[in-house]
Amino acid sequence: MDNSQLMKGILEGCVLSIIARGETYGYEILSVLEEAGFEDTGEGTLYPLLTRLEKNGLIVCRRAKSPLGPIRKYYSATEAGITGLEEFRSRYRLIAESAEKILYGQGGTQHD
Amino acid sequence: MIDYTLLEKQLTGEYRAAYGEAVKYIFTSSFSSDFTEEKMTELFDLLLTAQTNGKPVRQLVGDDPARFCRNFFSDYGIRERLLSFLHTLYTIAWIVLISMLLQLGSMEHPFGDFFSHRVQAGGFVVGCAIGLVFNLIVSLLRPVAMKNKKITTDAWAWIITGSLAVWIIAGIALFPDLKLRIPLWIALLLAAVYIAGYFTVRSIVRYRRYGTIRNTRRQLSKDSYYRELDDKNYERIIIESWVKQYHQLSKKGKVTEENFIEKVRVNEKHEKIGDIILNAVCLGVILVMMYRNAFVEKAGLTDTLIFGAVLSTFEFFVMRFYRKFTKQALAMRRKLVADCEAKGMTMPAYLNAWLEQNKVPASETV
Repeated sequence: MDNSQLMKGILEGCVLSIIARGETYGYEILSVLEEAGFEDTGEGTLYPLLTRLEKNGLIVCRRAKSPLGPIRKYYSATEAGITGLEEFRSRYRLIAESAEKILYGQGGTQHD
Repeated sequence: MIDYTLLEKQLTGEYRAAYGEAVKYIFTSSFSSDFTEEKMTELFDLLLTAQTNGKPVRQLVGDDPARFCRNFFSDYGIRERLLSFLHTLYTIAWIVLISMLLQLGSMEHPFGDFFSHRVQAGGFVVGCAIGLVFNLIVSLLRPVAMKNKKITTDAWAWIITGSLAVWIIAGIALFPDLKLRIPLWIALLLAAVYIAGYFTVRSIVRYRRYGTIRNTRRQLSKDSYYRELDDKNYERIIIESWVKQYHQLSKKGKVTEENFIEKVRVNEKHEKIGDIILNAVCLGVILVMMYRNAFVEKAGLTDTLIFGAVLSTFEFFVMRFYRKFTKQALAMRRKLVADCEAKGMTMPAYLNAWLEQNKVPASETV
């Protein structure tokens, strides 16, 4: 199955969650995702996602100097972002539980 | 535009290669400059941080740089596209405005004939139409060209320039005398209204996005990091030209290591005299043209004054543009000479020390 279809929504929730922990920037978000074991994020997909979150008012972006000198974009979550994250969490749990029941046979119809 | 090559030089090896790939991508795309600069500064920060932390570029960019670029720049939305299109029209509006003002300046009775004068717009319309068709074809072909690895950025630029030339010649050959006369005051009014309108819209958009109406380049040039890069690059150009001059002159035995600094000072003095002459020539041209207008062509006093005013404004902007660069270079050369004296070194020794201290990291890419 195509990984990217499955990933799209989940990644958005995870990125929002990382930003909600405190102000952060692109490189750091990528590192956290990578450490957690997400693949494919290092293909530029993170940036359009950040733009989308910003456009939807879930995060805000501030431009400031990085310790190395150049301008860096720092992202932080808005009120709407925090609420959106809570919603995502409960929705995700519901979906994950339902999917797990079927995928790993803990419930639903079972053979043999 | 920021000097992308300058930023590229701060990176090494695979980080530089990745940035170079993005530079290639934007040069073959028709993104708006605000968008491009915002994205390129962001990418630069990402790569520089990775380089400093020693994180392999593959983890950030993946295996396919072209796919990375497509994803990375994929948030070029409708709003940016629209603004970019409006900006093209804005450039055209300025061309219309300036050419109409020049027409007005060259008329015999600019006030009397203001509402009745008509201008020939055939060539202009054909030019715009050609530009539009050309733009469309380029944007359709671009993705195809990007996929072909044999077409390099240089080749693409040549293809674009070459086919544009063919289109222009074809346009002129097909419509040698398309007559389309429109009233001058209408063209002037439309251009002025459009410029004012676009400027307002752009200012609002920028203010909401960046909190200032300055363009991204101006915003960056206020920042010490980018300004320093820019200054260093400028200094390098000056230093390298001096080194070249020293080698040429010392080969002929005209200078020694000790008196080269004198030679530099004399050059500076000559430059100042040259500047004065240039100013005098500019003023002279305006006066001669006004004299010709008044006494040879026998135009009235008001017309001559308007003509002079238009010409002076035009020259003023050209000179201001030129001066901005020469002034900066002059200040920098003075600073370098003073620095050399303060250190008590001979000029050539100082130049070599500078170059040694500011070595550009060599590219290790294949």
